[in-house]
Amino acid sequence: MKASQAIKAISGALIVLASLNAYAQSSDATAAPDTTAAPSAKSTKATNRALQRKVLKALARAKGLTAENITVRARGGAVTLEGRVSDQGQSDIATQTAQGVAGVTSVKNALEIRAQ
Amino acid sequence: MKKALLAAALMSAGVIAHAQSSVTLYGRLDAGVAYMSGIPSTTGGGSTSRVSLESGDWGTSLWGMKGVEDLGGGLSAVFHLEGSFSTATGALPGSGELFNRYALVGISDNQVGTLTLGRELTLDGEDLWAYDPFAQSSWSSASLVRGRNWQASSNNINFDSQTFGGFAARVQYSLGNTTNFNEGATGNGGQFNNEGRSDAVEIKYNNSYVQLRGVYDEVRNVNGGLGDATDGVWASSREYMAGGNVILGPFTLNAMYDGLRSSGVNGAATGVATTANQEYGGVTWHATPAAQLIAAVYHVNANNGAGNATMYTIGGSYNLSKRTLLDIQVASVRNSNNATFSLEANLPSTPGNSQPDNPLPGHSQTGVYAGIEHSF
Repeated sequence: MKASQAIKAISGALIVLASLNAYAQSSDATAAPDTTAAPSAKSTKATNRALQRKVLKALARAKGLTAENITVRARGGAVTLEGRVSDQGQSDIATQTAQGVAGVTSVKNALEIRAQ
Repeated sequence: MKKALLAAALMSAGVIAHAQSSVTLYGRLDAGVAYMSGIPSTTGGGSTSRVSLESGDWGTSLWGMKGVEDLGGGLSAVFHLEGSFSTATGALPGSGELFNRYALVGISDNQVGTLTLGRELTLDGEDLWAYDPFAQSSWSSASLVRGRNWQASSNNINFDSQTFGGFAARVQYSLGNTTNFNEGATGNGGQFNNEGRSDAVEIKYNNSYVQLRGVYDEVRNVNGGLGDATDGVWASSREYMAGGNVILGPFTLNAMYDGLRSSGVNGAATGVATTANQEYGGVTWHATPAAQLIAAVYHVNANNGAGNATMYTIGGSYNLSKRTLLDIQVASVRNSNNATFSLEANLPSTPGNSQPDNPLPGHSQTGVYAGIEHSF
């Protein structure tokens, strides 16, 4: 009885190990063509910067928003808003405006709401 | 037929403009309990302390309205009204203006910038509050310059540019509204609500990690002077401010220089500063999305026997919801031998303008407040 349980446990563990190994190999196999096709770090940076500029421009032109103390950081389509605005209404306008920019997939609002 | 088409076109244009205009009503109520030591005793010598209920320690209690009307072609008409009041007493500010912070109307162009006319906070406070670790709370960057950098100014012409490659500029020009170009009149704003002609220029730069700001301004007194023999540089003077914020994940670092210079002041008694320099810096840690902790140091050095002082402070806030927060600040100001700088942004005590909260020369002052703030 005990032996069969041990065998079950060991074979189970082996299956898990084997599957982990298989996973690692398959991801390795697909990773190779990915790296050649993936954009270079430089062009990724440029794309992020272009999106940052687009979001900043949209914020600067948003009605009812003082955007000058907001900074924008983009990683892919994920945008983070940081800095300070004077009230909750401004913070909400900033989120909505950033969400409306083409290429933005998500907006993290880390704005601090403070004023004199 | 042509007339009918024209009428239809005009009607639809009118409908569009109307549909896109908007007015927002907003406000903030701030109240808390404060303890402050180092207040000169009015009965006999030495210092005493006080416990008080206060409004506006963490942020000013205020209410206002903002409006935008789309005029088409990238143009819009804008207005802004905002007034402060005391949540502790319900009273309007000392000089009784309904809209003491903002009363502005103007035109905004989404390519160029915004031009407005009216009453406004001065640029050193209006824009640089966001570069003070404590965002111009009651005990922060205005304290050691005795309120010089958080005034409101009347009769302004303002231009705020759009951003070009991360850079933007802003100009504020306030007329004295008297027959003498530089002089002032009652109702003009400033420390004594009678400032003369004043002006300010600001350069701004932003990227994803750094926000830099530089401000130069001139505030003249009622006689058109930059500084005077009674209040030194604290009410009227030239001012140079430069500094910025660095944003590193959950940490924001702030540093700023604030220099005050008078011009042509004769007969200033010992103890009346004709030059002063303030430096400050701090760090804000956004520990969670709801909680932030702040630590900061402010240092001032004034000439002509007015001495120097350093204020050490820590504090923070906790958001119960998007609109309601609890706040706390602990601060201590250490004065040199003859200095009388307070935690509060008070002018020096003079025969015509007694400031009972300023500590005795060379004495320190320590305080703590805890409060609640609700925005709507």
